[in-house]
Amino acid sequence: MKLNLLPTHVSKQGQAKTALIFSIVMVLASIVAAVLMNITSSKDLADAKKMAEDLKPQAQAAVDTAKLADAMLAGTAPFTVPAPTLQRNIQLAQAMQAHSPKYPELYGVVMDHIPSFFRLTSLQAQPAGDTAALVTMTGVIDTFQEYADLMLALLRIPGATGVTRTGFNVTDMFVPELITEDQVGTPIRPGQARVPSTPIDRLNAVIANAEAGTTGFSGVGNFGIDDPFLTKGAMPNSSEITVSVLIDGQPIKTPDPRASLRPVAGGGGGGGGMPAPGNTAPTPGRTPGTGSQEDE
Amino acid sequence: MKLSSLTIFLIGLSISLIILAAGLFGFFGAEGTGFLPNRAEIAMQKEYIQQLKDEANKMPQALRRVEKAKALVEEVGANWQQVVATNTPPPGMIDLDVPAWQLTKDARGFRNNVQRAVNAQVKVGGVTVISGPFVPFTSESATSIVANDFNYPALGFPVAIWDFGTVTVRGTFEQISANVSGWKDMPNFLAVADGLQITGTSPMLTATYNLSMVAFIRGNQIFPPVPEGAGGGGTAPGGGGMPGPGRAPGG
Repeated sequence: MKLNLLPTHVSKQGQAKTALIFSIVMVLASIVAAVLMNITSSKDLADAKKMAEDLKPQAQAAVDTAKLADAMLAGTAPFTVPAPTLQRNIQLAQAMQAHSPKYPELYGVVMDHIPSFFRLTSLQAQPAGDTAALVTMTGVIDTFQEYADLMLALLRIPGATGVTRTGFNVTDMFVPELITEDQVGTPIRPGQARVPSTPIDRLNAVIANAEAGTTGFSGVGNFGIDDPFLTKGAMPNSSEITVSVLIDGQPIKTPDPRASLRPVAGGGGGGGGMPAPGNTAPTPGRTPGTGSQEDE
Repeated sequence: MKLSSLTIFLIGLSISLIILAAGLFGFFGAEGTGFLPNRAEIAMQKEYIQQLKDEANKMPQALRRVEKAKALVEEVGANWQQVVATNTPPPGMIDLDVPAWQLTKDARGFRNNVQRAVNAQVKVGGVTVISGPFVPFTSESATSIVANDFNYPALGFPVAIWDFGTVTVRGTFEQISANVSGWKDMPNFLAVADGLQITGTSPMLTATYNLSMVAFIRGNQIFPPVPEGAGGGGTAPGGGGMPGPGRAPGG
């Protein structure tokens, strides 16, 4: 069963009329709202565009100013002197001028620490990396003790981190084992004949040894030759040895003019440009124009 | 046909929604219409404006940078002037702004002057020269002399480079040290002595070392290449101005 709860004075025609008026009002309101939205948003957009246009010259001026600095440094017209290239040439000139005295200075330091018993016959050095030098010396010493002392003396060179040695011929006397002829173990030099223990045999051996040995000036090692420029080598019973010292803090790497002056491939980082306006979102990764203006 | 009140209301509501949607989304396609598209573009414009402001705000920084660049250029220029004044061949020793045929002749004279300078320098310290540096003869080819002997345009500016190889001198340690160190003070050129080896018995020693030398050539112009050879007769490509470093400001 249906119940009609409407008051009796309300008719269906009245309801339709009210709905029509309400709908018309609603449509009119919608039109007004749509128009207002368009007008306000368009005005805001125009204002924003105008503001961007107004700011553009200022931003462009900043970019141009930054590029001017790049142009000055890069030597592009009207600044025709490329400062980095010029700077490189100056550094090369300074490096060349600074390098020539380095070897004499290094050798001066080394010579101060050469003991008097080590007679140098050759001295040279070569770079060992960017900051170290390997000094190689050839010279003459007499005894095994000097061979040991020399290493300690060379390690006193400022910056010396390692020493190597080679070439010493040990001629020091040593005590031999007992044999039939020598029941005492008389010390001898390497290669020397054994010394008999009986007095008469020992006397004969000493006489024979003296007769077989050097009786006059032997003339070895360029001694006795009248040439002041001839290198004097090892004397009898001396050894010519070679020692190397690794010295840190002595950079002797040579500047290479030809390689240094070769133009460097590629240029410096580009200055950027103005930010681009867009109807789309800003491009990811786009570098702002004066982004490279960090103080150097 | 009579419509019910609900139907009338729904029709009015639909029309209103369509109008509002058109206002919001800009269905009509015309640019600048539609609330939401406009808002989106305004947002992008604001971002763009911010970027422009950021750029504009960098003006003081850019000005400082220009000042620094200017100062650096001036400082570098002043330093270079010192090098030019003391370590480059004086004006008149060689001029590249002459036809290359003339240059082949002039370069011989330049070479001789360089040899004289080297001969004077290699005796510094009072050493006896056993084997001195020899300055090689310059090219007789007009088409290649600038490229071969003055490394232009390969190095970007005209510069003569000599690798003399081994020099041998004799003397005391002090004389040899003075001789090798003396190359740093060689006038009008840049020289570097390297790889010093000393042999012999003191006091008379023999020293060997390697020597390289550089001469930045002064001038403002390089004469254009001459039309010599099989391709001659055509228009010679322009020589043009000498770039910065070789130009030796004030030279």
